Amino acid sequence: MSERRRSLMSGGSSQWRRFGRNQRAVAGGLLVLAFILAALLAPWLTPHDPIRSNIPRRLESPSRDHLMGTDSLGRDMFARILQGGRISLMIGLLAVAVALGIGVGLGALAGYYGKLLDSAIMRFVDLLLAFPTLYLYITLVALVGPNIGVLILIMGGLGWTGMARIVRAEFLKLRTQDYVEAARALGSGDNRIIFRHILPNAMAPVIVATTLGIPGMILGESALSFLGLGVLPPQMSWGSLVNDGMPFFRTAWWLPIFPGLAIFLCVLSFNFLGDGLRDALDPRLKS
Amino acid sequence: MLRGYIARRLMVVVPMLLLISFATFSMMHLAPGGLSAVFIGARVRLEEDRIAIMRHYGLDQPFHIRYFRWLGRVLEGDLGHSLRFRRPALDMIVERIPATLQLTIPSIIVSVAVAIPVGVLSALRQYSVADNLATVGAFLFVSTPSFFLGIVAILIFSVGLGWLPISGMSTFGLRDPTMLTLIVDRLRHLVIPGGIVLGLGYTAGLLRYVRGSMLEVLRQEYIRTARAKGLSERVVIYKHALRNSLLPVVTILGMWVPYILGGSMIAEVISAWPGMGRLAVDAVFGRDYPLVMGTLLLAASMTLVGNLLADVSYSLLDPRIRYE
Repeated sequence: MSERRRSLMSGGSSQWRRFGRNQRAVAGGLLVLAFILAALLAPWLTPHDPIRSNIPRRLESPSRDHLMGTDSLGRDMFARILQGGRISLMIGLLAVAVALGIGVGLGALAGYYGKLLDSAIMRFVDLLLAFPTLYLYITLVALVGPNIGVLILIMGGLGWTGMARIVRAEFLKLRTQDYVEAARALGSGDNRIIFRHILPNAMAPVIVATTLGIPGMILGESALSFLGLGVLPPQMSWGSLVNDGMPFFRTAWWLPIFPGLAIFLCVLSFNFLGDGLRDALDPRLKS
Repeated sequence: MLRGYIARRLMVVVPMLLLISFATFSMMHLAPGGLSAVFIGARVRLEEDRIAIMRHYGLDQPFHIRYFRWLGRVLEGDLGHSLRFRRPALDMIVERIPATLQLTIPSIIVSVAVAIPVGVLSALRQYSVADNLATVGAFLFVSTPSFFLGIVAILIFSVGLGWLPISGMSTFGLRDPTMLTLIVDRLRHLVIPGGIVLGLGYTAGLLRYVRGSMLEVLRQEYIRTARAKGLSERVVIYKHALRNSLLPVVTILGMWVPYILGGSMIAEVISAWPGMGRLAVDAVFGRDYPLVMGTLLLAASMTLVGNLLADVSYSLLDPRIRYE
């Protein structure tokens, strides 16, 4: 098969080439991969224990032995940031997964069936959007009690409105297309049309929104944990490490700075990756 | 047609406000650690004491009756009393609103004033050094958690250089303050929470949006037509392109309305700014549920009303908007 024919037949290859030419996007993707690997391999990347205290060596500034210094109980900050990254990434990914499930489901229902179901779902979206995010989060966390599962459910359970709007818009656009009419004329039921015909064609914006949703969730978790209403000791996330460091930050600058930098770099990588995916998958949206 | 649109929007607001109140009330009363648990307290062991307390507060009534009684009190302006401070929750919240507005409104105004010209110039000189700087800078600030910006700014400008106050809203015991020194003092306190924690993120987000919108407009047919007619570049850019590119920006600003009241929590906590956000955080930590409920209810209601105003003013600005 000639080179030209192959590229014509596999629709994805031009998109991959577009993505590969975007240096920022590739760098973002590689960094995301590095963060995920670091989270998976955390215990093997440092000899130090993230939880056992070592009071005689408390509040030491960064050194060869303690790359990112030690905290107020003498624990190695590098080990704690690796461990915190596991939690922050896990919460970010799972919260997005929850939001993805709800958002795609409700967005598809609203866009496909329209009418009363659509207005009911969209009014519910309006209701959720009326509450300022952090006010709602801290109230719910206070009522249910902060723990990792609660954070995932709250952020995912409330953070699906953008996804629902995107999916709804795609369904509104696609459901009147000729090929959908054709499928219906051939006797396809609603389920088949939704899952086999429309959803696959709506995947590009969903993939982009998911990728760009992860940094949003990581920032949300870090804000809650920074306030002291997210991940609590003995567990740790990047946000809670910043919170732990606040009483000492005027002298021990490394306590909030390194976990803060970790959040920043991780969020930046996901944003680069998501932006690159958007440019590659949906050139119309290219900015 | 326009009047009909506004009337329809108004008609949606009332049921939405009811829904907000119902959602808030249900959250507070149905959650496991919610209001009834707090009223009763952990130390009440005897069943008959528990029942007596429930009856005293009307907690033995059916849910819907409690909701309507509460709603009636809310409509009369009674949000209940703070459990810790024994003061009306509404008073405590309203006292904090001016501080929050002093923080958020200037930061939004400055962000808009910076982001629109920079974003437009950035689009006009696409791929120039300045454009790349602005674009990358915006990307970096969009990705930074706001509390981190605040910490870095405090470390550099307050702890390190000593140029700006570390926290608070004003300096205690200023000697013979004149109006001018008071204003300067307030502005110095505003720089970190308002300018850096809130402002940089707002500016970065808006800048990206303005630039994208301007680039989009510059590609349109009517811009080519305007140039083909022989209009000067000035007229093409400032009259034809700029106006149309700013319309979607107005939508974004409308979406910012909730931030005026609800977006400054982190900044207030970092800089010990006595606004509504910090009140809410303190109330949550103190399990002061009437206060928590009040801040949530008020923040959501005002957001809803703010969104309505933004929508209506947008429909006045852009006649193309569909009145469905």
